[in-house]
Amino acid sequence: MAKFYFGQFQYTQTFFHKLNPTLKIVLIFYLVILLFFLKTIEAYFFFLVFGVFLIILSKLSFKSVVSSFKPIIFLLLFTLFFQLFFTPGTIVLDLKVLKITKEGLSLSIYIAIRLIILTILTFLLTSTTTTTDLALGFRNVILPFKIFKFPVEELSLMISISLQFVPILFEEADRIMKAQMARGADFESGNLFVRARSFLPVILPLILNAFNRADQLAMAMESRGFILGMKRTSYRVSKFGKNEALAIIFVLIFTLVLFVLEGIYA
Amino acid sequence: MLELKEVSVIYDPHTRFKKEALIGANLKIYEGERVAIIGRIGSGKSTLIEVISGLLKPTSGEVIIDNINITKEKIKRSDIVKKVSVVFQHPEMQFFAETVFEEIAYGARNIGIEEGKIKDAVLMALNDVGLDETYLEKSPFELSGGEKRRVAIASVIVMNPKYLILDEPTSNLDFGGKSSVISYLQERVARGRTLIFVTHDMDEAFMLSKRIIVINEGHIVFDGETERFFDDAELVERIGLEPPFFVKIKKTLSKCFPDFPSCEDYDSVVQYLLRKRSEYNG
Repeated sequence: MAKFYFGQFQYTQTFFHKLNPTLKIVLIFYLVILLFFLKTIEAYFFFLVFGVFLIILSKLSFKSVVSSFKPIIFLLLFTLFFQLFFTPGTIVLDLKVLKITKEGLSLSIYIAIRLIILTILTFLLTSTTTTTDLALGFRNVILPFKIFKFPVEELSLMISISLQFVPILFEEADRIMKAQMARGADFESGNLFVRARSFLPVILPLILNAFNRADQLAMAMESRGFILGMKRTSYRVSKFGKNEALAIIFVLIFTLVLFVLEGIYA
Repeated sequence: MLELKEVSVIYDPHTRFKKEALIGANLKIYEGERVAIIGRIGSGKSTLIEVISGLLKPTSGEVIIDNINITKEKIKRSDIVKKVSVVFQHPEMQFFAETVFEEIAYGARNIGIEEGKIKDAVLMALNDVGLDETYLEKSPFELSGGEKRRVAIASVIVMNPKYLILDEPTSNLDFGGKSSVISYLQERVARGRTLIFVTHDMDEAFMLSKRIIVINEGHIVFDGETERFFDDAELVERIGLEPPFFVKIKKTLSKCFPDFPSCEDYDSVVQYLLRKRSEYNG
């Protein structure tokens, strides 16, 4: 059985799960943009509290939230290191080789919180939306670009198939890893280079099998009459109701509070 | 000896997807045995072999391989595979090397066989599965289904594991591939080794094993002689399995010929049938 991976859909029936996927994508996108406009630490903290509140509201497992931060730890530390030690400004701590500045310290706190909030928002979206809904939502978001002859249907189909391949590839990677471990492979010892090298017997068959799978899928689709560029209909219909209206009002109130905080503390 | 003491495996505990794949399994497999593990899809067979081979840590219970408790002691993977190793289902899907030699040598290098001795070890493993040295420089991806499967088996037996586990060794093979894999397993691979295999094919289980372990919904529901299991038609049916062809024939013929021999011995059955044919022919 495959391990839990970042952003895997978790089945529960909450307000956030039931929300129209198109609106969910738009709102998350809006919140991400909003995040980049913030300037005060108070607003950032409020945003962080809001993100945690959304996670609690979505009844997502605590373990999955913690594990979702594992992939970004390295990126977080790497960014923090550079911001902390290489930002010019008023020196707070002089370590001879490295210097910590007041500006570097505040910038690294801002970036850390920003990265954490971004992870929470992405995690929220993918953990509460099925891959099918995600693809449908994405299709609806890019649908207006059709007037510019943008291949909306093809792109959304590609995204839908790719998203559905993710859990399959994770399971397959797990299977291949176990098979190579049965041949004595050790993926846990050695330095970073040795460990990266030891994954070659996993990655190569994984890519090969993915190509074979894609080839079989293409043939199966063609044999069922798939023609590129044909006009498509959807079994699922996007609904816009009371929940959606509530979500918009909620986000608008949140935006208002954020701007008030920005006004007070700027 | 391989021993399982009260082993349970629960996937996704504390979630709504909780699944008890193995429940309180107790098992002892002795050296030199030929054991078949059978059961329906999702019954817990694959979980059992992953636990036995140390690839999966059980939720509770102990796994002991030759007096070493692998659930309590930290043992290197390369040391475990010298004792127990698995040929997984569709092993050819895990090929990655450019040549058959490199593919088979992978396991040998992992367990630390000296570079000078690797070629001999590879050749010996290749011979055990009925392939010769002309295959060494071939690409493993160019081989036929049966040959690929045999190379995959060789890539595990090159480590000379004492206990060899095979998960569906003949699945997805045509008749030729299937019979060649079975014959090499019987004649050479099993020699001096404990063979444990998982199968859906009851004929294969009947032909290759002396002992059968039946798993149903995570429980070991039968552990005993192969023939005794298939004689219990009610149990076989209750678990949702089909008796092997040979057993069905025996039952049919036993009704006509009360002196029909036991199906433990193929030769006596063949001799019996030949004798009967000559009797009928006058």
